[in-house]
Amino acid sequence: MAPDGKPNAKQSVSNRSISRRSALRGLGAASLVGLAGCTGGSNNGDGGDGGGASGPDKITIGLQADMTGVLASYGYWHKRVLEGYVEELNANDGINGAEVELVVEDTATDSKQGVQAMRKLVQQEGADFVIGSQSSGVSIATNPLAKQLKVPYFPIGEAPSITGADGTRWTIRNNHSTNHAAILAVQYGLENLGKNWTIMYQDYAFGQQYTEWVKREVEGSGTVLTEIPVPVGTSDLNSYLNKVPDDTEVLFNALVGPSALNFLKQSADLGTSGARLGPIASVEGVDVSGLDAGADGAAYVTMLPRRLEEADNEYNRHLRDIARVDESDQVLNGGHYFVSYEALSWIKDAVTETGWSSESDNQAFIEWFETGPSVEQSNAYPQGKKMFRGTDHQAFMDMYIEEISGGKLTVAEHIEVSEPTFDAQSDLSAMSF
Amino acid sequence: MSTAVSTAGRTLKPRHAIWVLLLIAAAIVPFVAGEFGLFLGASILALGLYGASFDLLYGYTGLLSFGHSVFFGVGAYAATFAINDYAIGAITSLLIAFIITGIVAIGLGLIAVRVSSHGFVIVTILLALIAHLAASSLTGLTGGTDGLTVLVPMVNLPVLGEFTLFDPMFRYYFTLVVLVVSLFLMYRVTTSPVGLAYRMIRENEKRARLLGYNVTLYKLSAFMLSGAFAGLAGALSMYISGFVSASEFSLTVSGDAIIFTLIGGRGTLIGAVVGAALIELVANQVSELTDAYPLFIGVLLVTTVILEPEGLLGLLKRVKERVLSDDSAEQTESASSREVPGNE
Amino acid sequence: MALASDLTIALINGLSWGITIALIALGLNLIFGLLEIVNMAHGSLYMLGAVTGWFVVDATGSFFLALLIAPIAVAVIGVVLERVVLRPIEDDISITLIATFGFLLIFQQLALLTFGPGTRTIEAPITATLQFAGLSYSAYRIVVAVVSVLLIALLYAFLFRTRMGMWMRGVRQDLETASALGVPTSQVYMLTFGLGAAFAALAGVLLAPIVSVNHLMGLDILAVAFIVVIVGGLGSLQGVLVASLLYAFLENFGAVFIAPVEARILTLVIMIVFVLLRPDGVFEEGAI
Repeated sequence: MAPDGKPNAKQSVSNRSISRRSALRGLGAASLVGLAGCTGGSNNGDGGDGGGASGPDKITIGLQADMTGVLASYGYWHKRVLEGYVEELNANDGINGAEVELVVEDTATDSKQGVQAMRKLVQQEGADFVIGSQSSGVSIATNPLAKQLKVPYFPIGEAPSITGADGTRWTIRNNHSTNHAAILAVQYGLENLGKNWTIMYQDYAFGQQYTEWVKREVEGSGTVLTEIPVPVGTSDLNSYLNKVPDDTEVLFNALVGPSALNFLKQSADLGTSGARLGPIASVEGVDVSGLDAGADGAAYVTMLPRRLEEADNEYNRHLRDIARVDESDQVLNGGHYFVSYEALSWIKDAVTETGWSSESDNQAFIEWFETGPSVEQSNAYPQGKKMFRGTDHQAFMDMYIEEISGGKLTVAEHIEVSEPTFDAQSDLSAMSF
Repeated sequence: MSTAVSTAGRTLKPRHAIWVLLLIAAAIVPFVAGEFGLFLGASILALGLYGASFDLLYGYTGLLSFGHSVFFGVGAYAATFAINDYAIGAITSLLIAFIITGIVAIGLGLIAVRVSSHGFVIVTILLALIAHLAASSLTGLTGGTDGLTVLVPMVNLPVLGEFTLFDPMFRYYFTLVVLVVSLFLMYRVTTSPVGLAYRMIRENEKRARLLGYNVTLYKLSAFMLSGAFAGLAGALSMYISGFVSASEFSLTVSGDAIIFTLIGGRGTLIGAVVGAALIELVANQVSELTDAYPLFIGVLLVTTVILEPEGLLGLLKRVKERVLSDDSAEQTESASSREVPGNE
Repeated sequence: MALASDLTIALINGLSWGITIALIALGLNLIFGLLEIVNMAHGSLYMLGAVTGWFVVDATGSFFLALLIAPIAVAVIGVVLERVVLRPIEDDISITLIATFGFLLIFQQLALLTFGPGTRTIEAPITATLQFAGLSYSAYRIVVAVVSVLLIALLYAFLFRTRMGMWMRGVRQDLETASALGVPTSQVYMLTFGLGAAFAALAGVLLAPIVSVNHLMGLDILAVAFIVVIVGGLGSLQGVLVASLLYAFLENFGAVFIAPVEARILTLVIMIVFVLLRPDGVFEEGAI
């Protein structure tokens, strides 16, 4: 495939005379020779400038933001809340006296673009830590790169494999994993809604993962009657809703985008059997005030209620001030927007605890999470208490079940979580740096 | 492939200047670019190959396909399976991607070239939709939208030894060499009698038929070659990112090929590379300033097709003609007429 | 559910959904039939209709006002687009296709900047459900189907009963003669594009209560519209009607018997087979 290179790899390009007989081929060889000359044992790049050797006077936080594409509503809020938080930190002595700088790059909710954004954040903007994308695809694609660039990475994607088979030593997830949400939702459903389940899911990774874990959890205590995959981008759900068995007591739905809203409307229109239960992602960024009574009773497992009234405390108020929720006319992604905020809180704590001053302290920074730190609810952790499991760098937190009623999301149950809900699927702490 | 090659492929002429200049520019990029610039550079070169493969079809035969992403995706996955499931080496996997995509392209071409030119556009859209749906759904095989991480093996080069694609410098030059070799091969095709037949089909399909050309066969061969090089670009792009997902099949990826070709200049091959570089660099710069950069790309696209349908290279040519005005420049390969076969 | 009721629902659904698809695709094919423009921005015009509709409902609370204002606003956009951008390049199919693709990006991004990244709903003006034979079905969807039928009938009446409609058909059949007879071809072109855009926007507002409003909503519908246009035959209005119903029935009945994704892929494959067997559409060269 490659043209023959010159045997003498140390020769420089300028020494070669370009033969007129086959200019292109000659140049091809020339560049190959040039290449051989300048790849003398350089190894993997280590990213960032680390801000100099004498303790950091600046800490750069990268945000791999989904500003355009399918998850644009998440990107909007993650960026907004972090901008507010960084401003607040800098007004209060930064992190350990170091000024905090936020750099943002768009992923276009696309894995390739996301990987490129990560590189740019680290290699060009000099990010010391990167808070990741909400997209599982982007998170999974970025994990190996974070290891390669030796930058602690806080992905917000929720696929179980992010801290499982696709995890690395450099992956730290303070967001919940899909299986955590699925397990708690199923427990709630079995206790309150019924034993006969039907699962309707969007036929791609997100929906399939929920289906897998819901099934696993229901079996033994109940029955999964049937599973109904819905192709991505389906607007008309009637034909799928007709497949729902009449004896369904719980209709678990893991749908996104237009399918999720149509599901609410059309299942009500058709009088589909089963109490509707699903992940908050289905209606995140969706204005539910325009939904009619048909949507009432649909329940979602979430991390934080969308409306202040449902979790009215000083920490939540403070969070909303930082994100300037009241000044935005966009629908709040209430179940998720605090995750990037808390990721920065974790970074702040880890930097403070380990006395981090440059990238050479990154290993200590990661090892601190492997001691299984836990925190109580505070301004830094407005969603509530949390703990890390050192083995797989996975955080666990309380969850809520929210129900739609009268065009509003209201809390049906606050689920207390005091220990991990599932076993670690990988031992990230045993991996190499 | 080609038998009687015109002298164009053998001697340097003034009109090759742009090729040589670009190659020199590409070769010295690593000495001025930082680490991210090197990565972006390699990405651009792979995308440039993808754009050029599209130009081979559209710019030379006039067949506008909106399903080019299918080949990009098939190539990326073919190389992925070769590496992950069969432990095949890096360079062999590239060749496998090239061949398999070429075969797939023949199959799809049999469907696509049967219909009229408008039908062709829409059938190719359908093919891309089917591929994207299937790839998103079959997560067990493709990893779906979450994708698969690929650990590309070491590249063994005769004489030079072993290199890893993790090395930014090697990654860049490796991509550059594959691009240059591919461009050279494509260029030879376009200057051969086959390329002449392609252009005749573009200018006047009826006449080509009357002259006894088997138009369908020529269209099919263009489809196959174009597909194979797009598959190669897909595999190369996977090497660079170390990652592949169902998104490779999306219509936006098809759109990218069209954008690169149009902005750079159709029917020139090198134009698509220039277009890819321009768009990616602009997007990279503008994205720092605003999230609305797709708007910028849209505006750029619209103004290009209205003001200068022959793209950047067409503009250069016009400037050159202005300056030289003694018309010593010979006929270039670029489509100077805007005639595209109507629907007979 | 029993098979009989499954099939009944599939029938009603195929009918109502098919008619709605036809409403969107008719505008696309009208533009193609006369101007030979493959309008990639057609889905975006549908999206702009829904977004404009949402803004109108948000400001006034009136769904019917949205139904009036959105098509007019989008028609104006369409007319300007045709006049300013597409007119100079109308003789080159691929160039117009790429230009409209550029507008797809522009419109989508403008919607993201103004309407925002979230998803919003428009309340249906009718929220009843119809009950019959133990089945229930949304009354509003039936209404949308009926309104779509009326709109399509109106379009036909316009094309066959008014002077402008005659001109449109005349220009399509024989441009030179029409010009010689004093038909204002330039206005005919503009009006055709405006009409096609208005129809897309109307569909956007009508469907908003069913499918919700989002800046990316034009993408999925564009593909479907393209499919029925190519199967129905480029420029053929009856063909679009038949193909839309065919598409909707295939997908609905297919989903009764096989896995949904397979049904979707099978539908697309059958559509490709149709194109191969009848490259000029179901009615061959269907005149309007």
